[in-house]
Amino acid sequence: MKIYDFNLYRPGSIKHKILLSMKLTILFLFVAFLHVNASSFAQKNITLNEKNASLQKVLKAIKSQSGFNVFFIQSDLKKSKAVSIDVKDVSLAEALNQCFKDQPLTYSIQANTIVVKERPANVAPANKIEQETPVNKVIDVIGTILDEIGKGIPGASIKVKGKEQGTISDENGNFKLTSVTDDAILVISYLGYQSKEVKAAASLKITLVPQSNDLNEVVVVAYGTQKKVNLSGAVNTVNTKTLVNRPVTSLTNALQGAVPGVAIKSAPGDLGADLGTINVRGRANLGSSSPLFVVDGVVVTQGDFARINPNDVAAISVLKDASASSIYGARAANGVILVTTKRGNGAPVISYNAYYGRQSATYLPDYTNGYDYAILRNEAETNAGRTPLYDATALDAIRSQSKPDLYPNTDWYSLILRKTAPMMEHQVSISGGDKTKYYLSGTYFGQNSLIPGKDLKRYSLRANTETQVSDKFKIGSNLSFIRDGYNNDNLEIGFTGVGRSIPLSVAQQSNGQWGSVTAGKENATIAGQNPLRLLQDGGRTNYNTNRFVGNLNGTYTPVKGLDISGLFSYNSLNYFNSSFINTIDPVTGFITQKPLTSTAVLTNQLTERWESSQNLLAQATAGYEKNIEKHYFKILAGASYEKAQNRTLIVTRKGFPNNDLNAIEGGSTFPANTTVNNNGANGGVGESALASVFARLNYAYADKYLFEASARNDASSRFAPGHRAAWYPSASVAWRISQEDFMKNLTVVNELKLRLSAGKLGNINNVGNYDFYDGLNVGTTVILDESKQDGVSPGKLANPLLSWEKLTTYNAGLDATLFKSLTLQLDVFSRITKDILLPNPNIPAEAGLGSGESPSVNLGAVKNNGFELSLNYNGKINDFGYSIGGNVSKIWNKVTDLGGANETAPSGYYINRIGQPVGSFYMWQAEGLFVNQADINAHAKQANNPKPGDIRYKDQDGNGVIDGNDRVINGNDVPYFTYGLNLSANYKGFDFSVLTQGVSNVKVYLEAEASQAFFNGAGVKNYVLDRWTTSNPDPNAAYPRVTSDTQNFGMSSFWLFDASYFRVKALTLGYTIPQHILDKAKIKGLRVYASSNNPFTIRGDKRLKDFDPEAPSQRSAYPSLKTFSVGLNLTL
Amino acid sequence: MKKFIYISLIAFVVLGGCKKSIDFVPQDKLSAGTFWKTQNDVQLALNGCYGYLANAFNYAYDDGAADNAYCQYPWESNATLVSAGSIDATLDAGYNGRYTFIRRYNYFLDNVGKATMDETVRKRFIAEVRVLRAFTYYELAHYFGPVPLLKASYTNPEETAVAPTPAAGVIQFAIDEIKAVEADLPASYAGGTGNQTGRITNGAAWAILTRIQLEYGKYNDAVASAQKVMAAGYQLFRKTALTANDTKDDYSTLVNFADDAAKQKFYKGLASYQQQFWTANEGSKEAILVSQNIQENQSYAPYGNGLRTLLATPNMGGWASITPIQALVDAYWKGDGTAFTPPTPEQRAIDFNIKKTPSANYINEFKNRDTRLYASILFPGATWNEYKDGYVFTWSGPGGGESYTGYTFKKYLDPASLVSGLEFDAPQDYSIIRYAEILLAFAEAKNEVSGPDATIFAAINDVRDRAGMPPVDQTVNNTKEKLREVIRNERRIELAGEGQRYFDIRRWNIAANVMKTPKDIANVIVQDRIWQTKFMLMPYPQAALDRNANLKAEQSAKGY
Repeated sequence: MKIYDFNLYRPGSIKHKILLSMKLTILFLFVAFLHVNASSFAQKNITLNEKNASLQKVLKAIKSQSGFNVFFIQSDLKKSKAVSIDVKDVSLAEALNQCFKDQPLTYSIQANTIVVKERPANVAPANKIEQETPVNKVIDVIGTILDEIGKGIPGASIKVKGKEQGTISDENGNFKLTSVTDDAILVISYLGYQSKEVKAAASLKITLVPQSNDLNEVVVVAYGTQKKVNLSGAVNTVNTKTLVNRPVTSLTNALQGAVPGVAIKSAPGDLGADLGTINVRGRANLGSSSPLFVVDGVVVTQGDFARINPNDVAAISVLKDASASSIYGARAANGVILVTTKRGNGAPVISYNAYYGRQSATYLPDYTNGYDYAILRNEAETNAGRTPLYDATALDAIRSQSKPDLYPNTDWYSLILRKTAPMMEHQVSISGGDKTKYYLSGTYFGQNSLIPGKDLKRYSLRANTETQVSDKFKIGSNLSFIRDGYNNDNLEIGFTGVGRSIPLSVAQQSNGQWGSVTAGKENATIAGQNPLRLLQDGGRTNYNTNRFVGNLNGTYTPVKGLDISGLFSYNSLNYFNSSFINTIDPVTGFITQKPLTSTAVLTNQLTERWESSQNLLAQATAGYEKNIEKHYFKILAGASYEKAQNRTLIVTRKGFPNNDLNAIEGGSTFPANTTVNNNGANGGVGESALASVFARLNYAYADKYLFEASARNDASSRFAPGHRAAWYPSASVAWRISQEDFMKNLTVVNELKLRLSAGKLGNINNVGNYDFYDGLNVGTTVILDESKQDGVSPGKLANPLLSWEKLTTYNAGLDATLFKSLTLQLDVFSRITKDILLPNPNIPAEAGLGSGESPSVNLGAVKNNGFELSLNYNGKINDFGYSIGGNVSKIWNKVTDLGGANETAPSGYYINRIGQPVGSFYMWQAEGLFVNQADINAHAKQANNPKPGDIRYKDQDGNGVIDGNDRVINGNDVPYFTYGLNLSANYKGFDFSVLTQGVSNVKVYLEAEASQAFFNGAGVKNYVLDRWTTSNPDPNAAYPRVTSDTQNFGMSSFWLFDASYFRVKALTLGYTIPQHILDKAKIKGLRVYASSNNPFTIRGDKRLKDFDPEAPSQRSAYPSLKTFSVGLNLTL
Repeated sequence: MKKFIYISLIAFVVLGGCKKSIDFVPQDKLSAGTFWKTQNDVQLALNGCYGYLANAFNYAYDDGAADNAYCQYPWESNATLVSAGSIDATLDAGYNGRYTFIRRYNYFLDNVGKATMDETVRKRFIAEVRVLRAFTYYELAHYFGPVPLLKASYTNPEETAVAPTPAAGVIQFAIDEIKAVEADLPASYAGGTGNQTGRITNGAAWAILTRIQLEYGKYNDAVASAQKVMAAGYQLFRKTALTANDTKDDYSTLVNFADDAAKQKFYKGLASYQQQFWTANEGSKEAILVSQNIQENQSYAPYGNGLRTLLATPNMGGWASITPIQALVDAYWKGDGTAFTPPTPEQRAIDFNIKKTPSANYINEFKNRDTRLYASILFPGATWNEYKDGYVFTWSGPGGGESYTGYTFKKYLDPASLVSGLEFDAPQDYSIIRYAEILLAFAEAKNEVSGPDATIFAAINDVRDRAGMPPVDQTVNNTKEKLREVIRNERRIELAGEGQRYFDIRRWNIAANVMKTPKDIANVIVQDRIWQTKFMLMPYPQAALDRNANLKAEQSAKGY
């Protein structure tokens, strides 16, 4: 998305709204003008009988009778007086003369068009029809400026080349210029469109072509805006058109595929947990690498960013290299995402956007039916040398479903989850203003979970204002309030419980009682865990978050070029969650008809959680800008202070007199049921602050040679005094080759710019608030005296020497516009991260540090080399307009230093080794399955006492034993190659777009319920049916011989699955209702569309077909979703 | 204009104050720099060390790693893989977790001197921690053999990657430590801050010594240590009067009572043995070292006794995670105190007649057996009215979380805590060392030193009598070898489910004979078991090996 001067308008939204504000008749006349066809007109006489009619109405009648078109400037027509006329069969001239009698307007006829114009003060009303165009040296020019789809552009600039003379088009795109020499050249320009030069003529129709790399395109950069052509750093802007009108749950998810080098994971999750995560330019370190989010100048959390309504977004810039982002210093190491929300301008525009969609799961766990489960379970028992669990009678009952109360075939997912769930959004905004500009919007977003009863509602309000208090002083505010939450009459159930439910357990008996039978036997443990029962009877939950982000800002401009700005922002989040666990009566055994006592829930309990976080930012900047002939200077300096505080409180009480109370006070006050002895109260405080100063210098010579340098000093409370502050400098240069004289004659190349940048950045994301602090854990450590005892123990080891992670980035970029329609942005970069912050992986086990207790250290270095390329082509064939865009990013990631060691100790699935990428899987390499005992005997010894059909691990060191020395790197879990392809097309009123995204060469380790049979008592997935058996002794079978134990679950590459995919993220078909139909309903604009999110996926993995490659999960989890929706955009 | 000045003023005032306002310290942690000042500080740190005793019920899994039980869920514990002989460095038999406490102990011992406090109390606190550290090192050696012996806290954690000290050295350290401080420990604690029950007593210190010395064949020392404990006033829990609940189950169909006195003795023995593990009888004089638990009315509360869930059957709301195997059931004496000769597995399978009604013959196996069999094991046909009126344990094969062996542990199940289905939430304490173990350790050690004598028989008979069992026949068991077998079997059944069998079969060197594939009642394989000599010691976990190269040579020496 380009940012235009907000005093003007933006295509696609406000423009059309302004355009449509013209009155019915005028539009009609205007349309007629566009379709002038002189040859078909015959001179006709006119008959009119009107009393006090508007001139428009009369002209309309004349137009229809005469076949002549009528052209006028709207503002002129407003001056007209009412017309009373009664003529019969008179000539056109006669009729017109009568109409224009006493009018402040006059007319002329040019090429079958009646042109209405202001009556010159000294000229008497016309009484003579000018049948021909005057051939004077000086002419009046009238014309219309049209955009690529034939709609008028208001506010376009029309200038006479080489002269001061010029004008601006009106709301309909019409303009007139008086007294122009007929050999004059008119220069028509409008932001976002290629300027056009035309020879002056009496009547002109000029169509402007959009220009994606317009000279005046402005992008949002740190602490301000900058002309895109003057950028010397790597900045990508996002076409906001691709963000809106899609049924996505968050702005994050809407960004997917839109920017090269920006990888977004749409993590599956239930309501509110499905907002996605962002990574810019690969993994720079060994831990988290989320970018910095800055909305309207204020740093916000990923959660705040994700919940911004895409319709409210005016622009998004992604700052990727050091020079673009280093002014954000310490937290900008993983890129910066800058968001500007909309402002208003001009006459009020009201718009309404809405969609309604249905969500359904992209992939549901593909569990076997009861019969296959029983067969496999029997096989597992047989493989273990035992007897089958289910005999012929049982198997028969399972297959025939003749005794569903004893041997059911329960499909738990279909019982727990709805097939589809609706989601919808309604957004209303009003914007406009003159001295005080405003943009107000309100959004309702409703999303139902696939779990019944759980319906999220999100309400967003945004109010942006900007007031020009005086010539020198401007103040503004951006306020946003977002509330989301749900009330759930049902208990939140864990998906692990659903995943563990097997098809042979009854969910509900035929007599209406809750299920008590599993495979013919009453089973209290399973009955007590029946997820359907817990869901329906277990309790209730509700949660709410209120997010407020507000800033006040003021800019004082004492002299031209000097801006002194102050910004104060307050950002708060309040999270509230309440969860009531009901007492439940025991399940009655179906066979014995006696209660299964342990299935009762005897104590009810209410837990309330409250979390509040607050961020404060105070910032002052001063900027000065000056042009001295061909030299351009700009200096910015500033200081800021940020403080964050987070508080949590969790309180539980038990023993409520019934299940209907909702206040903690209603619970029992017996010590065992309250907070005193029961650890029912928890809470915490976290605080951090950042104090910074920064400065930036821009210099440009003749708009040709560009230079920028910036520096920032950050001091963070997360480090010990003495290690807190660090400087982050950067510099960049750019050369606009296309501005050179030798390029002037090359018509193929419209714009060509070479950029080079280098800089240093810091990162703090992987360090905790107090990692420097030598603190001791407090809390219950043991039971003595039959009660909890507070104790103190050493916890996470402090590292007072801890300091910033330092990233050095080099970037070379090329921006080009070729053939006027093809734009290209290529960036090649190298990013070296040093002093990586991570929990020390080399701490010996004997040090006795538990998980999370290893000290944070600055260790090692990682290098990311990569390129990003984005290409975009806009084309037009008659009425058919189209654009094709693609982006591709490849990153070569390599660990280059590990504090002198060749590798750090493996941790979990991973190892960090010099020369290998981060996220390398380190485990045994599976080489198929053992075929027979001879195969086992001939192979290296495996400790798991293998049998034919078990996984065979490769003996890497050939010593005849499979042990820790046989582990090797088996691929990687980071998608270092990502790509996207976007197509859009429009034809007359129709528009169509496809957004796709893909990653390749990435693996995922799936174990537990995701891939392993009977894990933790769970069911079996259908892919296991292709297992190794004695009758199918395939060494490359999809699954080893089935066992009910962990025989083959050792960490090996067998459980690595291919997570490559190519996915159509979004598909949209829209239709803009023709204006002449809307006019009757007094509507300025209406577009209807159908859209689908995640409709198709091509997956890399052929073995396990039921996981979402974009967001795989080890354990049972809420599925990822695809959505189909219909929507409309209405402007009033 | 005014507004602007206002805004900038705020901004600059805030900015001006930033030097100070970037100082934050955690509000939920104590500063190590200002800690160790008062007795209260020390007391809190001491409680941190006692965390080692929390959740000791997990020792019950060790029976599943031996020939007493089978653990059906490999994801719950190591026991399944260990008993199957599927042992390599991918499993951690408790290495990392124990060093967490070594760190706490050393940190405590190196800092306790800084506080201003009562010197006697300081001495006692130091003694408590040194015993805990000794016990922890003993357990490390017991599972892993040679282990790195860290005696002081560190500043640089990487210093801890030292070479293992041979097991003998570690054990000697543990023994010396306990001996050095035992005199500073009281015989009991009155309760209340600083004196809570559950702390290490002098008796506990000697009991730990007894266990260590017995395991490592220091029989003379073990005898002496056991005698210290035996002189300390401990006694076996005995129920002197029976309540109606105690006689709810009618055993007259299983046991032929000679007279009413015999019947009384049986029921008292049954109640005494079974109920010593119940919440109501916590803190009895039999308890030497316990892991205390509480009930929190909530599943997976961190300080509940998990056996309520791990032992109970699915119909009691449990998982049958740890189930007795036939070999243990067979080990229980006959009612007259002599060895039981079980039917052949084939015959038993026929009698049991799975999925149909068992024949009358089947129940004969359970007639006139050791009281502790009825107190410890639920076998098909066993009643348990005290849990629920009319309750009869039945078994028709595994599946749905039922026992794989055909049996379920009754020992350690307190009917009171079986009422709700709350998982892991039972309040009763778990014995780490109880007096019966000391009596049997004394008997075993003394017999090894000098063969049968009256003190030995007295010790064993005390244990037997409490369970309502007759004394050992002194005329038959009149040699060291014969008595050794009696003591070993007595120990197996008395301490079943208490984790002792794991090291007993190793130190007696009988693992190769007993770690055999168990069969269930229907003579179906429960689990394939393999034994190799190297399983005497567990391998160091891979994560430890990866970070301490000094372990590698020892790992190979251990055969892994």
